[in-house]
Amino acid sequence: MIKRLILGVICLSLTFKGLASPPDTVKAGAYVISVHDINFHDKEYTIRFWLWFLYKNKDFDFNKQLDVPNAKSIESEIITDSIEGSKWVIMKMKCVMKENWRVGDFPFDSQHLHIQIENTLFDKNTLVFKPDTAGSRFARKIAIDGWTINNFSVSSHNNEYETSFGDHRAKQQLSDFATFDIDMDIERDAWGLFMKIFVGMYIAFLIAFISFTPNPWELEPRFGLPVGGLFAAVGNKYIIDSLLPESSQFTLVDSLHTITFFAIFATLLVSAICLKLHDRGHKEACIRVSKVGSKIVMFGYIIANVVLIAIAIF
Amino acid sequence: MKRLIFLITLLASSYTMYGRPLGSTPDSVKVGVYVISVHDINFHDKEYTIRFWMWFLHDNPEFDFKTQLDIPNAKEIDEPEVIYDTINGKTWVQMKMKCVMKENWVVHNFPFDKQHLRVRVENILFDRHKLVFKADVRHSMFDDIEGMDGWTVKNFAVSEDTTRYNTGFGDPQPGHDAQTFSTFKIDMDIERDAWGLFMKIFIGMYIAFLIALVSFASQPWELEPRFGLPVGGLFAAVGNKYIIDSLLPESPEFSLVDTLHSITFIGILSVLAVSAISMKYYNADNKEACLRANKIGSRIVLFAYVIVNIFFVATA
Repeated sequence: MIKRLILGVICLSLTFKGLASPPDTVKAGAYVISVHDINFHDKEYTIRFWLWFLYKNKDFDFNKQLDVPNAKSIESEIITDSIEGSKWVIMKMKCVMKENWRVGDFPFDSQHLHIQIENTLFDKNTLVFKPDTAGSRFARKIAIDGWTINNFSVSSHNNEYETSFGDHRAKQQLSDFATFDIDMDIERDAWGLFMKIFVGMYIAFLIAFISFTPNPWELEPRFGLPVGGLFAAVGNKYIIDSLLPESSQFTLVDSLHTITFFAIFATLLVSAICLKLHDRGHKEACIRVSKVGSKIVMFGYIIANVVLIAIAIF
Repeated sequence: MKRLIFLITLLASSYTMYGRPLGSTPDSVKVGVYVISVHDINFHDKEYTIRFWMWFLHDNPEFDFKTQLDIPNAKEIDEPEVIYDTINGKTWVQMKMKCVMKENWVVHNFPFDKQHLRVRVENILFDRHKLVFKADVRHSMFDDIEGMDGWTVKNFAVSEDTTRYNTGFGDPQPGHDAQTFSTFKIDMDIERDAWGLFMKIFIGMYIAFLIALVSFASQPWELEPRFGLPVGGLFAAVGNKYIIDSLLPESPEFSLVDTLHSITFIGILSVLAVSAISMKYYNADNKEACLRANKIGSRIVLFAYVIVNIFFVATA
């Protein structure tokens, strides 16, 4: 009798599962007012946007259930109403977003911004987002200064958490939540910034290079100038580094400065070889090495710079 | 956002296809402002703080500016202090506001820059079919004494305008895919007497160049001062540039600060180049040409540096 009862309950539950209602659809859209306080060093930016939801399920309360998992901090104001029998929630959001900036090609970098919005309570079996692609926009005039927004889009996906968040009834350690995603690419005209941050470095190299002008046996300028240039180049590098996030990646900034360090080292090396030859009485060879060496250093430096910058741009 | 006016309008039956009540006119809200202070001007973080009194005179009891006010170009808006009263049968609302404003500073000519500040005020709930602002031009003003330190405010003005949002903020009804809101604008130009600041920020750079130039005083074959001094000047110029850069926002634009420092770097490089060329002549036993190159070179460098500096500063 008990076995039959258990079987009956199982059959009933299976029937209910088969007839289970589909998840409620929430139409979601966004209007981005502004992206500002872009901070490469602290790996963050601030975004302010309007967010709206249209849905019928009265259990949904986005004032309490909204989450932006990739935000460092979230502030929101909410207005609720109804339209055509649906609940209409409009929220003014301000989020400080965590961002892993790709600075490999800085300042010729383009960035991708992604804002992921979820309901903390209802998983994808209960709630799915339908993006309002037609109504979602960004304020073209004020959205972002110094950058251009490309490929703005909103979409919906699922975010899988490999945990049941303590639900011991769950058969597997898995939770799947619908997400509403705002995506955009941002890029800038970088040549002004490039000139600004690298002019000190190039002048440092040129000062080192001037040391080829005096005779190889004139020690003061031959060795003093490159060392002065090296100090200036090192100073320039660490000032630029303070703008960028700590990263194990070898960026364009690192590459160009490293080439400059090597070029200055090469300048000193050529001077040292010339001096050696001069000390041994090979004055002619000394002058020839100085001449050829200076050309190799300059030519190599220009070629290496052009190649690395071209790779970063293209 | 916004924009629940459409919901409200839908509840009534006498509507056109654009959601506007037939025969109705929007409620007019007289709005004015008294700017107490503009401070914490931060070029690097692209922001400033503004404190002001704002008042609204209207007849519509649905308008609640304490909760419905928005300043789209503000980073932060503090909870306003609100005083409610009535005057001649109208609701009179006075609000003390404090906002941190986002500002895209024009630093191309810094420190000879002039800035334009704009504060845009909107009602988040009612669009222009329901609410229009009418600027109280006569009574709106700027506190001349407390207003701003170090800057002069010019062309202070308040006006009304409209802002179009190319979105329906989720409104699914046909024809509601864009909304226009009445906007109250506070505008002002600010400028400063920049010569003191100019001297302060560029004195280090000019001294650096002069130190490099002093190397011409020694004979071209005196290697120690001829090459040591310009390198010392270069260090000072680089240091000066990056101290000033820390004040300015990150920008791809090549500003006056960048231009003058680049000219100084090139000037110092030219000093070294003249020394190197002079020494070349000296080493070739052409002492006369050495001295002549040194003399002419030093004059060209100094003359060109002064002329180029005057040109760029005058242009700014």
